[in-house]
Amino acid sequence: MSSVTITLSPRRGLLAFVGSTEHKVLGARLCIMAFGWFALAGTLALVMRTQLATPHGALVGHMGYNELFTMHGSTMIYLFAMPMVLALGAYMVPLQIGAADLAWSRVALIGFWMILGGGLIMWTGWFTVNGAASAGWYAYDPLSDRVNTPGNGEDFWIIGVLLAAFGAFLIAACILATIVRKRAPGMSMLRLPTFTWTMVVTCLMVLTAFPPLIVAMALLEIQRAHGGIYTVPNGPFAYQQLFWFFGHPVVYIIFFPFLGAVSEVIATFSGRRWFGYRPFVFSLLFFAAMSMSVWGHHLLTTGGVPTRFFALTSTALLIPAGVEYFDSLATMWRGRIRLTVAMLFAIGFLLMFLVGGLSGIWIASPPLNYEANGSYFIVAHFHYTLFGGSVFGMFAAVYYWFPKVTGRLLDEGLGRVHFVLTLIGVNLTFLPMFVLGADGMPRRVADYPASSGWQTLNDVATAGSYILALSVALFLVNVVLSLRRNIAAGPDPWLGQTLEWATTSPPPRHNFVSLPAIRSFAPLLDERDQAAGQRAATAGASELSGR
Amino acid sequence: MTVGARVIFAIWAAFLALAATVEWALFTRHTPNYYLLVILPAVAIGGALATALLASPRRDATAPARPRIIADLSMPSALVGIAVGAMLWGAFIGEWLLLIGAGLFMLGLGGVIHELVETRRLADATTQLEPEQSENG
Repeated sequence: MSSVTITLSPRRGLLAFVGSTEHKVLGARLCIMAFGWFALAGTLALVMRTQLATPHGALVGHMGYNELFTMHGSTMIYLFAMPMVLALGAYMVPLQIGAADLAWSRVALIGFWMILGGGLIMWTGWFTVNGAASAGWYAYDPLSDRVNTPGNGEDFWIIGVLLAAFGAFLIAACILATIVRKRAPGMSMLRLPTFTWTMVVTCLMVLTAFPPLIVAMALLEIQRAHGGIYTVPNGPFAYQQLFWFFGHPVVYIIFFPFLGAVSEVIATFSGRRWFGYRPFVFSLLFFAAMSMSVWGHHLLTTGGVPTRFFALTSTALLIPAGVEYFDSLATMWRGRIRLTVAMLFAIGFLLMFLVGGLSGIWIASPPLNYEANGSYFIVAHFHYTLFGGSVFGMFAAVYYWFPKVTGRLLDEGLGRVHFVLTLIGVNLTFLPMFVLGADGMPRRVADYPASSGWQTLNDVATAGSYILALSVALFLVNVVLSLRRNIAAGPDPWLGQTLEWATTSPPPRHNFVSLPAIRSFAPLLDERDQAAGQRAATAGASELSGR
Repeated sequence: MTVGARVIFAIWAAFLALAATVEWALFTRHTPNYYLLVILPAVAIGGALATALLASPRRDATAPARPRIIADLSMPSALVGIAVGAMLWGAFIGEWLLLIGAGLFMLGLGGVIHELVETRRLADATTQLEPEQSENG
């Protein structure tokens, strides 16, 4: 776009935090907020695991436990995971496509405040007479109506979800508009970096899947206040359809951007171009479309959905997922692999998500779904996809892009300990849950009989959760120490391949002073290859002239 | 081959339509999964058309040089976001908060409109003053 860019009122400090429309500030702000919610939700998980460490645990009562798992799940999904992927997108997409800023940045700012406001309102439910929301993160009606869940906590939860979803919707629209409208000259759609591609499909899914959630929440609140919405025949089932039309795609909305970050990490630290770029892009679009068509597998046991269709689409997800795994392995194959902390987390992401994905295929089968439904098997499955998969991806992204954002390198030694603790913690916490679920332990129970024989595995899971908490604390220590140590990272500490590494760390206000030529999705690798080719040609020529 | 954003929307729509067709043709003609069958592909096709019409990069490339003003700070926008939350929360906390939220919302909206008008005015003034300084930004 031909233009002179003039910046108005550059500020720092509290004002910038409140009202900055710059995409980097927005991304950092979203990231810090999301991590704060992650810490709070993780604390709730620790309380739950402590409660389950012994049969008939007395730490919290049954209602208190209901509030804990509701707020834990809701905070993790709506306030941590969704904002975190949008934070990555808001920060990195303009840099990766050579843009100066985010499109409609005022709208994105409104979105941020709606998410933060939604989270705060949701959490004020703890201070109401009947406590926080307690009907689960999907708040099925009639469980969530005013008779079964009295008090304002549930209302605050509904408003919080509504605001967070609307805010995320606005930010996703801005990111997609940025990709469509603000690409640098030469940056065609088939030259977008892999991370940006994952943001394209993520934003498409957000724009499609979030409106039903917003509608479902608005109707649920009307139902609670006045009734008559979901009390009609099949009303509760209609709510479930609306909710899961959002609820399943959101897993992929959370997964795709971390997959994109992992793909960047793998390509960079394998010293190779991402293998099979076009099949990867095509499979992403197919993956996204398929994942919009599988919501009914959450309702298989209701008998109200076509089970064969949803079993087919759910199982078909294997195909694009297989393409992405194949591309990852093929990129690493014969590469010059550097096992940095980011690369370790990327490999951990692939392994942990594989466990989650394969157990997902298991429960996509209707007969097996009937057996596993409502048990700890489901809890194990979705924690392997959401925590084992996505949190590993998040840390891969954080270790990879931290130098770009702050200009400082994270300590690799502490990072390795962080990785090992996370790997041990995740598997100790969630692997026993598969066995517990297969053995019949139901989810969402505050206690279990001593005669059940479930205590040992629950103790292992509880120990694992504390190791996970330790690993997160160690990560925070690493961040603080690394920032204080102040070792400059330079513009490109990893030999990156995409445009964000062509500018300073942290980038200036308008991101780039000049851009390299963009001939592929890895322009910096092109430059290095070209330079290496020229050096080889010069060396060859001088050798010939020497003879 | 250059692939524009509209093609991406079209491919996305095609995949959604494929899933819908498979369901309709092979499985459950009686099940009204309207989202999958009608709304999703329709929205995606609408997105493709909108992108084709409104967001063609060529249009920007041929546009005359014009200053692009980027506001770093927009307190009114933040106010709008906060006000929406205050209004919704006010529905339960009390009418006073709802009214405060509504007032803040109007204030924020007015501020955003004022910012946009000022931005346009500044862009016009810059174009008139220094047309020769226009360059790629």
